[in-house]
Amino acid sequence: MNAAAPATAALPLGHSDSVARGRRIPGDGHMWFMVLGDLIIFGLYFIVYMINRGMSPEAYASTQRLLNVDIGVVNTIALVTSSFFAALAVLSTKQGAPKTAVRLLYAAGACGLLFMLIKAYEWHHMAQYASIHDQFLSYYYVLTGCHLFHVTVGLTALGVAVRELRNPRKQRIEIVEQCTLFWHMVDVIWLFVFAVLYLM
Amino acid sequence: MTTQAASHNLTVLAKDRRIAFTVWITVSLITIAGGHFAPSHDSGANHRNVLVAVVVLLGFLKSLLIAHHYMDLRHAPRWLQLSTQGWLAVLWLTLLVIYYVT
Repeated sequence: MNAAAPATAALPLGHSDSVARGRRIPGDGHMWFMVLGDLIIFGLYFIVYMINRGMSPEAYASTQRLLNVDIGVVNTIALVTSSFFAALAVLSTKQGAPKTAVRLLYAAGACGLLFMLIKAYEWHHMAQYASIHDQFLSYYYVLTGCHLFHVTVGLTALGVAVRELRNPRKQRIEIVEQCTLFWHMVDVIWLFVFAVLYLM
Repeated sequence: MTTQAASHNLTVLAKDRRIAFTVWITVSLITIAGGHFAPSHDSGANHRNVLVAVVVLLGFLKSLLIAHHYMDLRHAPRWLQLSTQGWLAVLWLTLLVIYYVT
């Protein structure tokens, strides 16, 4: 496939684009528009948070200390592992092994659910310190809440990929790529959330 | 697809699986190390500034690895690579600059 080929050109199951690995848009151009848009919007959230944090660093730090970094680490590994399974699912789809791909997508979804469970526990734990005057906690709940919303959308996207693969008449590779692309974006956004809220 | 082409494909896909595994291990280890050496609010300002720079550098590296390999940017057109990786670089750098300036 060359660069002039349409971005959404369908690849049949079992076909690897590795035969003629020219440049191609992974998934679909529309999905990339959404991914880049989300990365920019979240990026602006992080910039606003950092500017506000810089205005009263001590006040932010006093609540930030209450966050458990280890929980953030476990959550990061859960999402990265999920992304790993999703990437393997795309490779299995290209190899023409939809059943394996479905199992890998289930594993990716399970890691996503684990992430949500851990986040729910952390939210519950942090709620005891909640105060409308605490700006750090306000940002914490808004940033992690927006991200959690994207996790649920991402899990739905993984479900769409599973549905696609379970239908022998469909099984379009580009649909699986689009769904997993969104899921990887959720992972990348979390890397920023983890850094600015837990580590910086 | 000829037998030779199919065999070549399987070899390439096996290589891609190894790369995916290597990325997973690398990002996970960096995350664990980053959490272990996370800057404490009680540490000195200079020490903390250095650690925050390391956190940003490692975060940038992790996001690049996921974008390049898992999001398959390595096979994407140059404009898509530059816009995605460029935005990631600009954002991480902006966050670090704001941290230092404010």
